[in-house]
Amino acid sequence: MAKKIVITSGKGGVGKTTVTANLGRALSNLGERVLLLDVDFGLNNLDVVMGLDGNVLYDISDVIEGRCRIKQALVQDGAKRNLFLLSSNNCGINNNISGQNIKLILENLSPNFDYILIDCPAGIDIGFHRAVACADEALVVVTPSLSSIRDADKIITALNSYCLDSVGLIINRVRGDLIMSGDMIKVDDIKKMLNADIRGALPEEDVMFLTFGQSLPKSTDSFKAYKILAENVKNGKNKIFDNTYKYSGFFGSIRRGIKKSV
Amino acid sequence: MKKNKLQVVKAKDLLGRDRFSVDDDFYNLLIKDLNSVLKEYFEFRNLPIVDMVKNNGELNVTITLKAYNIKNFKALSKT
Repeated sequence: MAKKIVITSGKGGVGKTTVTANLGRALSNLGERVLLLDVDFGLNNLDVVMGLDGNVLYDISDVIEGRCRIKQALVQDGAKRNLFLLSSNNCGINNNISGQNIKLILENLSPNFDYILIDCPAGIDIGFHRAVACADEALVVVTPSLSSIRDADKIITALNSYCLDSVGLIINRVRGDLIMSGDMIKVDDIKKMLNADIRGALPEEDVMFLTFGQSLPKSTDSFKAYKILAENVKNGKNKIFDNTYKYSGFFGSIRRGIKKSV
Repeated sequence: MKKNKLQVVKAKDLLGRDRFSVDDDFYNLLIKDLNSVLKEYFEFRNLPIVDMVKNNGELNVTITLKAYNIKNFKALSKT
C-alpha cells in the first residue's frame, strides 16, 4: 500500500508544487513507484512543472464525476516509467469535491504505488482540509522568511488536529552564502522555532528556473539535496544537505564576495 | 547584532504572540467545558471567568468561579 504524503505550506509561492515534482522524481530515481496528485482545484500547476501539461486528457474531476476510469486519468512521465501524475481541473474551483471522494480514489490506486505525493493548495480553508484528510504524513514547505515561518507554524498547529503519522519540515530556497554572512535565518533556528523534524534543506539555485519542466542535472546541489530528502522520506531519517559547504573557508569567502557583488 | 539573529528574535516574538492568542471559539468551548466539570462539584449561578496573562513565555491562567454551595460527596478508595 502506498504511503500518502501531503506537501503543504500555508503561504503561497514557497515552492510546494516544485518540491512535489522534484521529490517525486527523486523517489522514482530510488526505484519507488510514485504518483503525484494535484488537488489545487482551479489553480493546478503540477502538470506544467512536470512538463506534462500537453499530455493531460482527463483529470481527477473527470474520475469523480464518472467521465473516465481512474487509469485513463493517469499520465506517465516521459523520462521515468515509475512516475505518474493525476492532475486536477483547471476550470474553476470545485467545492463539490470532498476529501472522501479523493480518499476513495487514492484507496483504489494505493496498491499500485509506493508513494502518493499530494500537492496541497495554499491557505488553510477547505482545499487544505480536503488534501490533508487523505494523507498519512505531511511535509510542510517553508522558506527562511518571517512570513513563511509564521504561516508554517499555523499549518503545523492545524495538522496536529489530524491523526497523521508524522509532520516534517522542508526548508526551501536556502542560500548558503547568506547564512554564512549572517543575513539569512539558519536551518537549525527554523527547526527550533517550529519544533518539528527537518526532512530536507533545499538550495536556491538558478538551475531550478533554467530546467523548469525537466529533471534536475545530476551535478547540481539541488539534485543532491532532493536525493537526500527522498532518502529521508523513504527511510524515516533526518539527514540534512549542507547548503553552506561551498561558502566556508578561504575560497568560500571569495565565492561569497563574488556572489554578493554580482 | 547580525541580521539573521535579529530575524530569529523577531520570528520568536511573532510566533509567541500568535501561539498565545485565542479566538472566541476557543474561549467559548473552554468556558463550556469548565462549566460542565465544575457544576459536578459546586453550585453556582454565573459561568466561570477565565483570565490568561502572558508571562515570560508562559501563560498564567486564572479561573474564577463564584459558588454558593459545595456538592459534597465521598469517593471510594481504590484499595
